[in-house]
Amino acid sequence: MSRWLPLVVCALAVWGSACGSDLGPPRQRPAPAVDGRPALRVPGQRSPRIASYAITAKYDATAHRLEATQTLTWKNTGGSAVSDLPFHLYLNGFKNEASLFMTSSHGAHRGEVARDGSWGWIDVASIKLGGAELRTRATFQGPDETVLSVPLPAPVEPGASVELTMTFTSQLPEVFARTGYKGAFTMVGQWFPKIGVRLGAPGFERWHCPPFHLHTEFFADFGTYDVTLTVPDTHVVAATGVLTEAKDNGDRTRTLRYRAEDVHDFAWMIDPYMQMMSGQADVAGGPVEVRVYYRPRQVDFAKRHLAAGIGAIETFSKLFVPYPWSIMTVIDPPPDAGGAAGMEYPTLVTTGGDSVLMRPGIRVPELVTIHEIGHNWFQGLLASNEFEEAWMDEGVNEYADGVVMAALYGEKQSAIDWMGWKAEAFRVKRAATGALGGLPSPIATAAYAFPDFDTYAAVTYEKTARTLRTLENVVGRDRFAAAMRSYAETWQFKHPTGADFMASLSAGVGEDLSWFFGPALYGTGAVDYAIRTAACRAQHAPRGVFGEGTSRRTVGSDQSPDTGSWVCELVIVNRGTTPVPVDIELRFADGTHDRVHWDARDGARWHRFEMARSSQIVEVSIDPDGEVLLADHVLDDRLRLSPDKHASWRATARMTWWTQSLMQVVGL
Amino acid sequence: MSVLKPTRLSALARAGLRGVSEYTGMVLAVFVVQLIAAWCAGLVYLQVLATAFGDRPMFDDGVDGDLTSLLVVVTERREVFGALVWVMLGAVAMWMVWSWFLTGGVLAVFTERPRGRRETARAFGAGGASTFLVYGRLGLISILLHLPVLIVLGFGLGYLGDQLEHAMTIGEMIGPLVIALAPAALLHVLVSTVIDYARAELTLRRPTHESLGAVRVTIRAVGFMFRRPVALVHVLVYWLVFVTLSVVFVWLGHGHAMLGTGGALAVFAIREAQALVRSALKLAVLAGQVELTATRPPPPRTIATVESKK
Repeated sequence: MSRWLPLVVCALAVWGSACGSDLGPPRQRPAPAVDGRPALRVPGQRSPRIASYAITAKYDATAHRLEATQTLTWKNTGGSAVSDLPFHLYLNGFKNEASLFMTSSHGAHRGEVARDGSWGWIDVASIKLGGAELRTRATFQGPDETVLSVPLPAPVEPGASVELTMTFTSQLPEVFARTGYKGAFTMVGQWFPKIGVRLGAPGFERWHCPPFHLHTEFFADFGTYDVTLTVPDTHVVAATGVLTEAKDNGDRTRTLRYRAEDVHDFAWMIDPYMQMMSGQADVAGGPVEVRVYYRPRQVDFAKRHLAAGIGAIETFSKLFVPYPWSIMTVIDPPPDAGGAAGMEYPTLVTTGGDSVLMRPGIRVPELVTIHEIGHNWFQGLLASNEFEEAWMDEGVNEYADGVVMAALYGEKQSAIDWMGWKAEAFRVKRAATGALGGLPSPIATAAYAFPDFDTYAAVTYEKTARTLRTLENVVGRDRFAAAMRSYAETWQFKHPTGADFMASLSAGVGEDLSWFFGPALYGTGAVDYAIRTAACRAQHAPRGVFGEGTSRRTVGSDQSPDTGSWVCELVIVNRGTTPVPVDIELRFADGTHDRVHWDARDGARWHRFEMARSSQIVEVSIDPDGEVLLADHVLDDRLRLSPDKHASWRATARMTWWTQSLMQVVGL
Repeated sequence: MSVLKPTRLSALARAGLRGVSEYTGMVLAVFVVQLIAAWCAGLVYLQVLATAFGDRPMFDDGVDGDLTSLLVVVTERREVFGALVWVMLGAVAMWMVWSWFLTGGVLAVFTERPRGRRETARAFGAGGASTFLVYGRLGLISILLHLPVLIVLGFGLGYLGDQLEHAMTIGEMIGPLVIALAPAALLHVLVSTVIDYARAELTLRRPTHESLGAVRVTIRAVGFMFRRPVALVHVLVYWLVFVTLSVVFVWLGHGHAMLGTGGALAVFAIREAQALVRSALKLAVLAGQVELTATRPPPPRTIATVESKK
């Protein structure tokens, strides 16, 4: 035995490492076939196309560096002249520990940590306008080098355009926050100088181009992208848009040209080991090809992502507006590149959740894919401002994900259907996240103004989703769905604000929803129902002393016996700050049920119900159908008036067996 | 150097079977004591749960398998479950101490082989009482010896966490799982076997070696492990059977709700039958260990001289 033990351990170690990432040296791959289809399924201009880019870049896979030139055509669609152009240089957020991104993140992002020494940066060497060099006049704005402002020699008048040619070098970091490399895998996002957005009333526009912060994502104008990439011929590339040209250069490199239309970003992935599987989503107006790129050992998860991706494209298209582009690309990053996972770009997303623990039926990988694809509606098409109103994309999308998952997998098991356990997405997330009332920031908070990431995530994603699900149940699912569809149709390819969203929904449901949106979006509270009083007393005619003088008579229980009926009193309170109408179910001792309704829209904090019944109340359930997802402390929402120990006995029997098993482990 | 008689695993198993079948009453009595101890904790659980959740129907749903309700109950009443965990740990710690007496009694019975219920009870009680304090010292030594086990386990779990993060399939999980847990498990088996044999020798040799102490028997037991690896294999097999039985039981029991009082009683009976089997197995292992210890040469005796007493 002792002789064999080291051998067994060594064998297991070798087996473990063999299961790892030993994929061999990259091998030359044949040039990919061009897509042969337009970027938009139905060709034609869909957006104002304010900022359009033509980029030529060469990628050095060893140094993880890009040498590139871009020509930006920017159109002044506002009512005032523009004398300077600000550019986001997002990669400079990874340049040093003094950047706003690094100081706000302390070098960590969603559990991933920056590797010391692996800095990312972007160096703009030249900015030319009609042959004039503007780089020397350009200055960094703000606390770091993530915003570069370029003064123009002459203002761009309303309706006019300007064309700038910029030469730049982009050094990618080791990925811990969306963009960068890990081993041979590289996700290239936010890699080129990206112009800001003019916001404001006509004639009073101002640039919106804030520095890169931990909590903020991205916000840009729509346009076209014509991107030419020269890469090693051993690598697979997946990118936003469609591949229009592919040629081998004879020097172990390959040049690929992509075109994307009516999008506001361009991202791409490069990796020597990725494989691709694809399927077709049936969408009104023509099919959408869904592609999943994956490493070989992730093939089982790739199949799940593909199925979820097809389902997401079809369902989001039905619920809101049809997906307008020809291809949806889903990248499944290798497990050690978790920093790149779970990110959205137009027509291309990265997914995640691949783990041995995510058995089929535990729908975390599916949820990630659906969420990221959902962003192609909530921010891709409805391009809200992710800096100022992150809830507009993350939160609204989180709500939509729950609806889509229910449509795809059935409501009761939309999140989990595994080994007999079933869970619905909204409710299981509420159960896991817990109470949200009392968090320090309201939903309507700029992303950079949250005190910490946990608050940002809980409020922006979870509380917004619960808020919308609650409202959906209050106004009715069909009405709400129609209002959401109307919002999407009205605001696609535009920049809707929170006010636009609220106005659109109010108009869509035909009711002023400010009674709800006010406290729900601008307050820090939530809904917190509780049963204050629930009691019944025997009903009988009034007893006591009646009349005076000679006519005074005393009525006792003999003269006024109990009728056999009961007068029941129920007081429901809302300890939260958001008023939401709610049903209350009463169960009576004779086995009958009854429902009462509290329409709390007037803002009342409590309500009293009185009713005469032939039987006493034995159980009260506030929100018996679980429709008020914004409610906290839901354990208190169901109350049995006479305690019952049956379930406690069952739980005790189980726990006692575990105790006994532990006793047998440590003792006799 | 003394020559030990070869004793095979099958002989230890037979000795265990013989011991358990010969002293069935003792096996049952020990099990009943264990059951009572567990249910003492159980009654605390019941009281706490009934007080906290007796009027909360959502708790009923959670107990009956509704995952979301269960999560709500646990997240909204963390303090209740925290308290229950401490009750459980306290009960287990108490049992560990109580086991010093019970193990001493069981080993004494297997050593003396008394006849009749009265004699068995006498041997059990006397054995348990006479070795209780020295078993307590062995318990402290056991805790010290388990410190390296915990350290190795900590490293293993750290390694496992890293590996599981990137594992995609069950196949990819098994290797790291074994690498991470096997060293600590083997070390635990080694330590617990050493302590088991130290106890067996204390019980077996006390009548003739009054001065035999906990440290000395532990050192002798360590040496014995290297000379007789069958002792380790014996305990290893026991643990494999124990874990397999438990896992299979949990697996089969998953998703089967108790239906009414009859169902609850049936589940209780099945659970306890399984626990009884595990308990009997443990006693069978002790019987085998007594058998093997009997083949060991006794430790040298220290003769106290008149001069040294002066």
